[in-house]
Amino acid sequence: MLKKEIISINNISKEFKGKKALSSLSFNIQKGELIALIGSSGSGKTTLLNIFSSSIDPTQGEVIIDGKGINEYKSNKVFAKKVGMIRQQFDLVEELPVIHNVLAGRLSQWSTTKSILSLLIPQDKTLAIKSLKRVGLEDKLYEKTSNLSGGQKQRVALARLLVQNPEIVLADEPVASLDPTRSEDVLSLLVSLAKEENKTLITSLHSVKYAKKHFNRIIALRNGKIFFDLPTKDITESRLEDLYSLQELDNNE
Amino acid sequence: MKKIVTLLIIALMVFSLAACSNDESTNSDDNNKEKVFKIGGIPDQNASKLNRRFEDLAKYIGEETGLTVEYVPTVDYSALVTAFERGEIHLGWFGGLTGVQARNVVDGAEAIAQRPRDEEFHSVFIAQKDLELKKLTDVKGLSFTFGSESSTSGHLMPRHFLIEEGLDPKSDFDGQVNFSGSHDKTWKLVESGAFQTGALNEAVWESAVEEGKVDLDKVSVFYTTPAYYDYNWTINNVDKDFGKGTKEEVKEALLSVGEDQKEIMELFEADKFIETKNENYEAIKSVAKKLGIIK
Amino acid sequence: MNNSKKFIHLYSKSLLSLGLLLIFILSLFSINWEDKLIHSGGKATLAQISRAIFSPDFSGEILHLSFISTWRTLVYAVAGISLAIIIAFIFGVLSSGILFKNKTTKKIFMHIFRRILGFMRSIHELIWAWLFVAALGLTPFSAIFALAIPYGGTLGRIFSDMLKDVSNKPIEALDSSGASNFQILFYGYLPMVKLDMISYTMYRFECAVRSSAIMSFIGLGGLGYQIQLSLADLAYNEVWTFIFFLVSLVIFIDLWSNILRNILIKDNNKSSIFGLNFKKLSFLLILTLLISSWWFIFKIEGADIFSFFSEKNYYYTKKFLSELIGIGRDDIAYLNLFHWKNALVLTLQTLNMSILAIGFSTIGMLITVIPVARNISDGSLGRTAKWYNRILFSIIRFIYIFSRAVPELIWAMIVIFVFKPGILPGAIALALHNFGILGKLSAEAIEGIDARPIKNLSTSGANSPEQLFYGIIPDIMKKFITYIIYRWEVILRTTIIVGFVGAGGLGHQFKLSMSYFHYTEITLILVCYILLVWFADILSDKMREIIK
Repeated sequence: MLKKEIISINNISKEFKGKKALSSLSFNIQKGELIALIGSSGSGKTTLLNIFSSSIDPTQGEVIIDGKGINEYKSNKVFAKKVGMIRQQFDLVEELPVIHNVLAGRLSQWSTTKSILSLLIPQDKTLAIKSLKRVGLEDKLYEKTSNLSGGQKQRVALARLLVQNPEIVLADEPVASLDPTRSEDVLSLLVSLAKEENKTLITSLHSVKYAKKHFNRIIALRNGKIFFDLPTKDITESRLEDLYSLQELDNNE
Repeated sequence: MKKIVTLLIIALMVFSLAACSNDESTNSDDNNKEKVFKIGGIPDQNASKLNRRFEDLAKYIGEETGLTVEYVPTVDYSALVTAFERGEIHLGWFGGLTGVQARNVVDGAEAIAQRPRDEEFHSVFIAQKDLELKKLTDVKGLSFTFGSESSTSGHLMPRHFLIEEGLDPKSDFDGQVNFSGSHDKTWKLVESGAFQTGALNEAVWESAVEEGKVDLDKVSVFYTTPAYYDYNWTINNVDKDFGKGTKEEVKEALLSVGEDQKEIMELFEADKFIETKNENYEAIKSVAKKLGIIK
Repeated sequence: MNNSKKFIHLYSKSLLSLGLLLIFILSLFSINWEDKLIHSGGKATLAQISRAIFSPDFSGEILHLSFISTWRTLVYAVAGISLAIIIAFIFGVLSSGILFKNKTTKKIFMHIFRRILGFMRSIHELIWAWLFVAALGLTPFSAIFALAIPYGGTLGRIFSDMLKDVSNKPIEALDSSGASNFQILFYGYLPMVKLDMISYTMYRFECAVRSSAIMSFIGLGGLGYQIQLSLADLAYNEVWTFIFFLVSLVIFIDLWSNILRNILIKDNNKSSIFGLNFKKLSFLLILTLLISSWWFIFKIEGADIFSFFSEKNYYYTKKFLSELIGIGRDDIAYLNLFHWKNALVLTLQTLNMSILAIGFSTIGMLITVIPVARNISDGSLGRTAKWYNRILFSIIRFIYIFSRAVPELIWAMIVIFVFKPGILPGAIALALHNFGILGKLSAEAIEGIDARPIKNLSTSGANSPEQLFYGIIPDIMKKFITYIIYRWEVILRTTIIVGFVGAGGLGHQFKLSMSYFHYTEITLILVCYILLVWFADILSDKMREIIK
């Protein structure tokens, strides 16, 4: 299979009120890659993901998604088929039942009338059931989302992503607020789903342990710059120690 | 700086208190050093006129009898009756009905004086002029307003005469029956167009016409009721509180109002007060009973 | 079977809204819309009244009167609320049950005092006023007690809920250190609820100012009295002057309590005005108000504690009560089937009026609320901010505060000039007052929306209407329904008041019976009124449970 560049960024920078969050980043991502973004808080991971998801625009530089500049995607419905995002558990509407939160992933396919009708009579219900089965929550179809535990909510978010079925999956600290067992659970589910469907997965993580265990490429950020960008097998303990110890020095400046 | 602002605030407060205290002497209670003889009147017209009318009269009675007389304004007909019952009003200017109510609740209360016109009092029915009403039954199907619920000339007697003519105030008007609250307001509401027709006290109507307040191109009288007894001065059991003979003294004072007190009497739309007695109001009492207002 | 249950559970909010909407539509049918509902001259009068807004009477005499009346209104509000706080504190503590360790005593006390508090607030302050005047006469105490009792009831209930919600751990720690129940109250509970208590009391104080303004109906000359007199003379220019004074007073208290609340929450000691510490300034202002108000009432108004406990008052209270019961009478209205029938019809009318009123308020709120939420007007909730958003925002916010600063009764007195007597003008007056409150609460609910799920819907490909239906509505619906139900309860309590000025229902009959001294009819009306309020309490509790 031919390698295909699905994301490529060229010299992008982002400033917030004069403060540099990202400076001159350039790299390419191939279709099907599993990438972990690491680095301590404030290093620019979330900003980078938000640029990929087109929530914010870079101050400088260009982002190419599947051969097209990111701003050339006029409608967010088309873009949603390319890129989907999963954040911490806060991205679900708590007051809606699980099924509608899952089916929100279909909004990119549906007309407005159909989406509103679906709130009364759920549309494409089999799809919702199928994806809930894959995350192991088929019994919670009609449960109110706010009644679920943190881990369950995260799996509902995964189910929504399955329904949305984008080519690129972005995940911003998907397990930050979960306990270790649940984290392991959700991460392996996320990675295996991405693998099965040959999706590109970019995840920001706090834990280097998880990054090394599940991902095949790790990009480390420090102060908005790339500190290293290596295949997982090439990462050594000393590199990691450098990443975090240097960080402390920087902070003390 | 802090202290200056604090001082300023306190000064402001004291100032506002002082500013108010000038005007607020009317409400003081009855355990002042000397007993105050309190008069009141039903609030059937606009308040500024009533204030002048009763304050001037209070001064006059005070001069004649040597009592300390004070006028206590009220906002509600029934509030005056209640105050009379509690002995907080010693002499009240009542309407026919409120007088009956007041004497009903105070044994020994007596109607002592009235204006000559109160012996033969009338209510007038008014309407917007372009309706060209001729007789009482013409009000059927139009919007209508009474005065106060407790008013004799603005509610009780007009209702009585409407019923005599075979009209039912509950169903024969356009919309529910309205109570405007006072005679002045009744003609104003008809003049302004808010209501098509209404009924009010003849004296109030005449003085409004005389003073040129009413626009006669817009409102006119189309029916005047037969005569009945109305307004009266009713006195409480005052001899107990102010000494024997007080009742007679006050009555004398009222009956002696004459030429020299023209200004006061103008405010009452009359020239003097004449004697009256409780029995004169039996007719009103029976109408009120018939209409279920008095039980 | 299980499926239909699930369905009801799943769509409880939508079903409830649908049901409420149906009831509202049904209540619209009770009005004969074919009839002309406006007086033949109503439109002209409305034009006159509206024109007068722009030319209020600011002559020296009226301004002087305005200042005096505003001061009087404020004085009675301060006196009433200060007494209410004492009542609320005592009853609130007792009904929270925190003073008792024994479970049974605790339960009994909580139950009894909750009921008492409920009874106190179920009767509107003007009704209390009328009852007090009948029993005590026209003394300042009648007005002050009439304010203190219902406000004490409301504050007491809130205080008691706050005390019950206090976190357990610090209390247990104090308990195990051997502190007595009273010590726990003062060292444990009170410091923890102090903030909430102050900020809620400030809010209630604002309401008390409005209530104090309408106490004129029993002969207390405040702003309401002046408004009433000017209306009787059809002097609309003067009416608006007095209303502007009332609105300014309410706005001042609103601003003050907002600033104070923010400072207290942030525990910010440094905020200052004119170089004075704001907290200290507030304390000083409250103290000055308290002292000068009570001084005014005792010295200038001549209130007298001793005459209050006189034999005369005892005699008239007893007489009044026995007349209410109808001792020695054979025509007792509440034992008469015909009177009951009549009263029940009026009760239904009153209920109907309250439903119309909350319906109109809700419609008014829904039309105006979107541009008023800060996060929508400044574009932070997804939509772009347009230049006119800010203007619209300010205008509607002003209308909100203006409409709620004017009490229902005063709205009713004005509305009755335009509409024919009946339940419609009453409902409109109630709606005018309440839509501002509902709008403010709902705008705050929208401002409180969590933007993250909405953003995420957008990344999933949702357009604006889809974001509205999937993200915004589900989030705020529960709050909206809760507010609407709560306001409905308040409205129902007030329907009897707007009836006084000709807006129909139980209130109008109450006024008539009062005028004719038919005391047993008053008893019957009060019984119906209390039953209605009680019914509304139960119903709204049930509805709240459904949407939980």
